[in-house]
Amino acid sequence: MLSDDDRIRYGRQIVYPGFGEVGQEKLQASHVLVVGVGGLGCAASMYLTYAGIGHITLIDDDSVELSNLNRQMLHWERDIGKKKPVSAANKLRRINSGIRITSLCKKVTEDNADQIINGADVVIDGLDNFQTRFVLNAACVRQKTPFIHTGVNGLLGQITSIVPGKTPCLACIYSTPPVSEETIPVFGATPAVMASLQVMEAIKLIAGFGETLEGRMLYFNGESMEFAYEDLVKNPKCGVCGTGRRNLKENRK
Amino acid sequence: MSVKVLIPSLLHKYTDNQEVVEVDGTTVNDCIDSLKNKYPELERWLYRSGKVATYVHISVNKKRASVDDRVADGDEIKILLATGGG
Repeated sequence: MLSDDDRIRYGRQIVYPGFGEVGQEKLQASHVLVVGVGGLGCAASMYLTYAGIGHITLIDDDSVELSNLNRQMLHWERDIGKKKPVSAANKLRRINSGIRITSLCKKVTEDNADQIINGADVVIDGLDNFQTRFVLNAACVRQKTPFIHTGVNGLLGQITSIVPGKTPCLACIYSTPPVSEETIPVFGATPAVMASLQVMEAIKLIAGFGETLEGRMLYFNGESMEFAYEDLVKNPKCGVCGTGRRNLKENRK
Repeated sequence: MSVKVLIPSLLHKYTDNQEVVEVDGTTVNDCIDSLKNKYPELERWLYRSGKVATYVHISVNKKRASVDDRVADGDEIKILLATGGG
């Protein structure tokens, strides 16, 4: 239920054709999990906060370092050494006191991933490595939770919306998991662009309008200023979302 | 030595809509260089500072590979972009 203040605060998005108060109420009732509170996670959680997502959970095990400050806009000089979810939540609560922010200072693992998703409507990928992304992807498939996968490198970024049961999952896209570099180059503006796209996807998935990036990967090349799409194909034998999953289980018996 | 390179759909517009391109080379790097020489516009997506970019995810015959790996006649190289930072 929107208050009079909500109608003013979110007025510019409520007037968007096809969104309206019903759309805003859906955002207000939603829970979005942001996994990783770095370059992507900071920018994404800011726009989720501004948009009036009712409950945002931030999860990250890392503490703020000086080398984060070229891009992680919710972490400031005085925050060096603080846990990232705590540092970010402090600012987000000051941006919007009408929403709930939960901070979880832990790492996502195979053992806790399902529990962390905990009924979230959408999971946002703010991770910096493919290893944990694959763990999260598998948990999202099991939980049937939409997963907005994103990654950046330098001035390049990629994003797709994985909707379990409908679209290819991350393991369909990469049958052999990519190896992440130790130090990935990145300009702060790249995750900011990609995080803005993540939030647009989240809003559309929650409110149910527009066309999302289901079944296609959008690549942004900031060096040449081009956008391009990759058509994604479901792997029927995928070990996470296809028949390979059943085979894996049978093999374990 | 002829090797097939499977082109991701986002790059088809730079390869005259060819989904598979046959190239010559004895290493993965040679083959991607040969592909780029054939279709120079690919450089914007696949190269950084004159080298195959680190975010280019490569597999040869469906197994993960690196640019230094050797290839044999009839091998199939698949390239995908995989930007992993956050």
